[in-house]
Amino acid sequence: MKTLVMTDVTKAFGGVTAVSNVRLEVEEGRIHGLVGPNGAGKTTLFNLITGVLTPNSGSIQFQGRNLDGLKPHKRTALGICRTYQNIKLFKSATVLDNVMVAMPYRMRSAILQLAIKSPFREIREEKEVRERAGALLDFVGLYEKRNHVASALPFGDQRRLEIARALATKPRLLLLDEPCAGMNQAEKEPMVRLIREIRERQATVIVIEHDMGMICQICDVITVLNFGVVIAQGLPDSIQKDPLVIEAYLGDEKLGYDE
Amino acid sequence: MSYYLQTLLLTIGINMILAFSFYVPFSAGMISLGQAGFMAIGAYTAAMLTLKLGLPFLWAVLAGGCLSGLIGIVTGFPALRIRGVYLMLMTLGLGEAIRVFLLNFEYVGGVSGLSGIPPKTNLTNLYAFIFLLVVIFSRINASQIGRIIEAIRENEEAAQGMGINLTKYKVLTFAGGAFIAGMGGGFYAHYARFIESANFGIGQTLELMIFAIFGGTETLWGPILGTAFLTLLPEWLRPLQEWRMFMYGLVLLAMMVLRPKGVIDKSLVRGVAHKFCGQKKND
Repeated sequence: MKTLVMTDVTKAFGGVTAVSNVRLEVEEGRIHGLVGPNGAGKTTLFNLITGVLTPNSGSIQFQGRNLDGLKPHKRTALGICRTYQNIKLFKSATVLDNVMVAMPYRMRSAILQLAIKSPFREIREEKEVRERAGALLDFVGLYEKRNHVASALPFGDQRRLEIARALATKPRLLLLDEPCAGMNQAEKEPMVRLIREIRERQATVIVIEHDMGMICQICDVITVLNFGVVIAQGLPDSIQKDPLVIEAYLGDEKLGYDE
Repeated sequence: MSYYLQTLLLTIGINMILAFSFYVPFSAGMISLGQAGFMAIGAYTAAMLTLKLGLPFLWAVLAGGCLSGLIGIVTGFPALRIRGVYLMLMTLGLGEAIRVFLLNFEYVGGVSGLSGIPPKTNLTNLYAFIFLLVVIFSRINASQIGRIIEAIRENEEAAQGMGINLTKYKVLTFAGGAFIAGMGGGFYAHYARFIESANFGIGQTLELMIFAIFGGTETLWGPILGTAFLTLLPEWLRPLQEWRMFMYGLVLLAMMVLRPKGVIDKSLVRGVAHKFCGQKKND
């Protein structure tokens, strides 16, 4: 079963075509890697899937449903959620609040309870959501820091918090935009483990990453983008040997490596 | 109670409501410079209802708030698409348009204003309303709605990405601010007994904005206590005579340098709550 199907998706900004006729099929339950040099259109692809951007042409289907014209928050409700390359947490809120705010919330019953219940008793919905948020923070290893203000967390923890926040929306498809950017090898290890564990939670994962070693280690399938075009797709082993990929990453011998 | 003290407390109360009306959309990241316009709608509506129809005071004030809130909803939708300075300009234009409309609208007195409004605002009904506002908003802020509003202020894109309907919550808070400003206008009209469009200019908006920002906009206590302090300050400074407003300016400047988030911020409120209520249960 395919979780996500992108058919001939094109997105241009003025004269620059960021994504050109991209076809992408993501199988359910897989960890799908998305690699490519800077400016290859990887993040643009995420923005198209989450609905922040609208494609010029082509269509995107999620679990057999066409996403055309659907607003970002509706797509999140369907089960698509993401993290950001440049971390976008709710900085002045606590770690726990960052996760709780992303949870599906039965607002109507909550408001009714709020109106009739004593101010000193917590409403049921609130209690359930708080417990689930606590469990998620435990999953990413941040439970002890739940009352810290998000901006006070170290960098690696902020990335983990973003993942916990995204998981709070109960995604069927989780998009991770460079979850290991700026991390050293020792910090990458737990992140790799975390991404594997996410798959165990019945979610499909698409991950953008520059570190080829890491991507080959965790991904079932890899798609390589360059200048907005898919130049290769397949199993990690075959991708590493693909001449087009090697050229895109290392450049022409004459031009040299410039990343 | 002396007449002086009573007048002072009434002024503080009305200013508190208006500063609060600025705080509500601000808490979702929207700076509205049209609050005096919404206040005018509430003031004129309530005054006309008690004057011409003899409606009970509180109903008239509520009706003024509702009409203002309704206009807040209608203008909230276009306000969604614009941010920052551009939203300030749009709301500034809106407020001025309302003021000039009232200046030229003969039915509500036009240039000569509206006089003979019954003096119905008193300390009891005014402070009861403020108490209600504080109770309702402290419960909202502690709920999921409060978290959502904070998330929108902190990062709109991420909030939307986490499934939050921006349209719904931004229009709701914008209209909420308009509603409260309208109610404040109703209380003002029945306190001043005479209103004219000049009462609702940009100067009024800026004043209540200063109250809210000086007090701090992270919690609802900021605008409330900031208003009380800044309304009292010129009274305390009376002995300085003509240097009074100079000192007022200096105090503003000093506080903005020393506490850029406003006098009362989250950590301060948390500290005070900790001291008086012990550990909160979610800690």
